[in-house]
Amino acid sequence: MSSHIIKAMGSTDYIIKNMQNKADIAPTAGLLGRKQPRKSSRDGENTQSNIASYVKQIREVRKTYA
Amino acid sequence: MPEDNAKFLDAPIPGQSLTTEPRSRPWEQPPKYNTSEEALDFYVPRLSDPELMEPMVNSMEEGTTVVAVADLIQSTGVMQGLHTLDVGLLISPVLVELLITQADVAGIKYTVGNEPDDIPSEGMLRKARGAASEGFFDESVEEQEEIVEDAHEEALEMQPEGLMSRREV
Repeated sequence: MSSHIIKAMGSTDYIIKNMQNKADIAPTAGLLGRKQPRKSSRDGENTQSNIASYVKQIREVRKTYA
Repeated sequence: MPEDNAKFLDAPIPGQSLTTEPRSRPWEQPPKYNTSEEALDFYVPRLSDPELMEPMVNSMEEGTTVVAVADLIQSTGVMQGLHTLDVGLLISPVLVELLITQADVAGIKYTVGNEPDDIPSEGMLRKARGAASEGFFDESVEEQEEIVEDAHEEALEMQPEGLMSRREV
């Protein structure tokens, strides 16, 4: 296994622990910021189409950065 | 060679995972986030935080592919008991897109991990070797089938020879 992958594994573990320790971030923050709760499969939403729409949203946001 | 042997000895013993107390590991507990939307609510704001993402951006700059980093993030989430493996796999595309965006914002050079490669992979080579030797194996299978059929016919022709068997008069 490449050394950079091993290093990445270590830093991922560290990051996820840090993420959990970090106080709750408002859901309005970040690239997929929202004001309403996300509707999930429990609300009769299709998970696959939800994921596809999130990917589309992020790609559109990225275009504005470029 | 000695190094390879040492690595082999470092591997877990089969069944080692069953030696711990049941439900003592985070992934044996019910997950914290049950749906992909809940898991994304955890990841998205945090992965958008440049301070938290700095080590990940560094790894991508060093040559780790974006897909590998996303896979590491979701599998670490599973190990920490945040979500199930299924939810992790479902949210992977979103994580990949988030990481690409972070890498673009940081202005680093990165590889996504789905680029076409000129060098054939080990799997492709194995397939090619299998296709090349298919004829050889086919012949040997046919020969074996013939032997089995002959043996079956011989067995049918043989008369029962036991003490109690009925004989033809």
